[in-house]
Amino acid sequence: MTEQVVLDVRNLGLELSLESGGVPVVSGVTFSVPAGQILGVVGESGSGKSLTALSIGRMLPRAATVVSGSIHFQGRDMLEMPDAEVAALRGAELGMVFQDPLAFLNPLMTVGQQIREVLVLHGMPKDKAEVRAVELLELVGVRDPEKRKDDYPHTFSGGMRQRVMIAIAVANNPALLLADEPTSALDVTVQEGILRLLARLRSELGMALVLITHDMSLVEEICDSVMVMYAGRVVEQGSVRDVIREPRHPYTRELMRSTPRLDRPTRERLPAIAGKPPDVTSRPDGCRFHPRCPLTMDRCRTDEPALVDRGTDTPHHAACWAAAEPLPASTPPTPGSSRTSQTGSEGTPILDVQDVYVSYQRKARLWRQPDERPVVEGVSLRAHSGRALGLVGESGCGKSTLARTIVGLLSPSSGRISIDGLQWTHASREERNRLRRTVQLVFQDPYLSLNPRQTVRQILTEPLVVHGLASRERRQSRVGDLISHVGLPVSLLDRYPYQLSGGQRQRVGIARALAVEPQLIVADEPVSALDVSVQAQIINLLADLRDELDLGYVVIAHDLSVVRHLCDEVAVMRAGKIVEHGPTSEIFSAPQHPYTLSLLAASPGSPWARPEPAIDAVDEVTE
Amino acid sequence: MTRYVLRQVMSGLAVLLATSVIVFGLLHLAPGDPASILAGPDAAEDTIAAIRTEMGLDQHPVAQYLDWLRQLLTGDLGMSYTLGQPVSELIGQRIGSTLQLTVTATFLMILLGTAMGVGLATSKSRVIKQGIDSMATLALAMPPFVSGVLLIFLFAVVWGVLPSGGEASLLGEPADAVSRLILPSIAMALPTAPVLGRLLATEMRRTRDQEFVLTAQAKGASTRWITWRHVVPNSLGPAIVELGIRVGHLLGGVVVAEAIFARAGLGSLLVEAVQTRDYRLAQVLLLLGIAVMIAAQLATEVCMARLDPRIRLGVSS
Repeated sequence: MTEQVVLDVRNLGLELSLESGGVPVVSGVTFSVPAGQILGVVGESGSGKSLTALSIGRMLPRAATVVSGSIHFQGRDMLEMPDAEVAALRGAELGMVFQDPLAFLNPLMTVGQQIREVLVLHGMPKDKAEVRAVELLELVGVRDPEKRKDDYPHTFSGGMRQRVMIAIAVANNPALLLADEPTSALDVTVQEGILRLLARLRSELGMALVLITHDMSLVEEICDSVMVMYAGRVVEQGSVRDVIREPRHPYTRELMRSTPRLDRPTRERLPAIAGKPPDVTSRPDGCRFHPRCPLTMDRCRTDEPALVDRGTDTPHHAACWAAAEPLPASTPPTPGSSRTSQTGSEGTPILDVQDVYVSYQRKARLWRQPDERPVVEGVSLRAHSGRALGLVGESGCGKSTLARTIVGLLSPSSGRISIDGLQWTHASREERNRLRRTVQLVFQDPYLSLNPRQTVRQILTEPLVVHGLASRERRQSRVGDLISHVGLPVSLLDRYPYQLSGGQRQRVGIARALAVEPQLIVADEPVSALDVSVQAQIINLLADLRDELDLGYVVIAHDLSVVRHLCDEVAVMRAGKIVEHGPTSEIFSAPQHPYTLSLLAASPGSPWARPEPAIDAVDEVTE
Repeated sequence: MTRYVLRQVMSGLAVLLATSVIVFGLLHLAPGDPASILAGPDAAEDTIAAIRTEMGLDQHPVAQYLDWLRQLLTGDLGMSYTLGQPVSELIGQRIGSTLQLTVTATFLMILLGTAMGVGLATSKSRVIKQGIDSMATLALAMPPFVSGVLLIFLFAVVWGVLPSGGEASLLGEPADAVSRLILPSIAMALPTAPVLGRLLATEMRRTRDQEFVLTAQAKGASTRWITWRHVVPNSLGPAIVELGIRVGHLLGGVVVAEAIFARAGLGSLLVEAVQTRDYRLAQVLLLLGIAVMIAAQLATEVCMARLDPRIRLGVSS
């Protein structure tokens, strides 16, 4: 069988020039993509997957250079080609789609202009490009394309923007489409639509697709073959069937295991990979995964394993000293770590939200009508000490607004929120201070929510000083307690946030919240900005702290699989209202509301039937 | 958009009304008396008093102000005390000269500023960047009264290629008029252009790292195309705001430039009016200056809205 190979990368090596000199970031990467096939490239931050993709179109940032290997695209050597010829390929034969479709579209140009640009750049006359742009918008499922082409990117929803990006990328019928995390900035149900669109375009246009992602479940869903990268190296590659069914590298297996999935028992402790992906500058010797690997042998610490074929009928390579034989059965979850669900409504709730309405208002001015946009419409919830309530919904449903109202950053327009018997709206100065101690917020992005000019020590000391919680002498020991409580070494206290990894920052964010000894923690998407293997650690940490300190939680997430492992109860929110509310096990086993069902269906490992493609183009409410 | 502009115009008028009080008050608080200047150094007390009565200066200041305001609103700018001509006529005679100068200077600012900004942000050669940067610092450090004199010395005295000053009718002798505009407008543009250039360059460096630039690259666009179609339009904001402020101040800057280059424009007229305590004339000229500033601010807002649909369509975020 002679398949036409569109992209052939051999032994690719990339180097990053830092102040201290050149550091290898990617080495020995070899893969090829036949026409009409989808290759999934999986890895966490720092794995080198995005740089590998950028190097294909010679679009590496200035600091990165190709130091070895070859890249052949349609049989032509990309590395030897003159700049002008590479530019002529980009946007024509080689299409690219990136993660965040808003940042990747020019805010000053209409979407029509931006689609026309790529056509005109490759020689299409303007009048023809005008017609083709509308066709393309239609192809990617933007409704009413004739009208929408004159709109600007910010008037589109996330999913629709990504469709526009895809329209740009496939405008000139490329032979290869590179998609770098095309769905990770999108809601789960929207993600579905985009994946389906990519798969459809692959068969309609006969193009090959390289899908870069951190999410194994995406690979399982639409890819033909997969390449798993860790710390700049390929650790495993093969057909999706082989790799998913029988992973040969411990990292692949752990990555699959630590992803929260629906087909695993609820409330079981998530199997987390210890540690974090290594930094480019401090990669370990030997096998780069060995410090985090459960199967480490002496040899792993010193010698780097090569990619070895398993010797089955289809090629399946893994770079692991232990890969010769099948991996031993994975260790069962730590005994005693799964706890029984507490679902009774006994005891006084720590948080009682009753029929709360919140709306954003614009006051009337001389020439302006007053404007009121309801965001939360009649929500009632309760949270108890030692128990976690999950609040799930997609972007724009009002969940973050509700969280801000609970912690007192916004005021409800009507309804009652009482925390430990106190209400923000009827509190004296003293009571407000007590409220601020009782409830704490943990933010989604631990980088943006920590002051970059403060050390971890200052960040943790500040709440103690503000609330007058510890005498000057006691403060330092209290800060030390806090940091060890969240599983960080005391040596990190004098670092700045930028010197920490994402997971460490989120731990600092949690420690900061704990500093005032709160009873209720409101966590707004606490793990969605983190690497998969780190997400599981943070979820487990939150669970431990809840049991240890008898904390009440309100955990906000866009993804049902995340709350499943942490929460006793789940409330599903849509368009400002709670559409379903109940114990976690019931919500997951017998969802009542069609919206809950569609959220469940879109989650990885879902036993629920996916909704039919009827909603393909209608995948979201236009904002 | 129209409603927005209307609202801005209304608030601009309100500002103008408020400043008219300040302008009126300040001039009347200043020492000196137009009547005694008009009457001459040896005039008798009662002559001066008679002139004061005739000019209405013996009335209560509030009454004088209201009187003046009423005249203004009916379109009558009043008579100059000392020159004996209607203020509107005086301004009419001089405004052409000042307009020519300020418009040319603004044009030069934009041209030089853009060239400097794009050069600084895109040049790969360290020498060129350093060169532009040093020139910018030099230009920044030279106020028009220094650069003006220097320009006259070099171009008019040493090389003798351009006239040292004066003016000519743009319609009658266009070549002569333009040659006389060159030096003063350069002197006025020089300290502003580097500010615009640096703002543009800083913003361009920031914009260049934004993701949509990567998209443009992925489309196969050339570096030049990306710079002019994507980076520059997305980087103009701060420079436009600064330009608006500077244009608003041009009427002030013109005072110096007109004095150095011997041009008879509004700047020199204002100096004369203040020196002779010609309240009527000075008040109107000062108000005109403020009106220009307000108009420049409004123009800035409109430009920003034209440029960025997110502002135009009133997106709150």
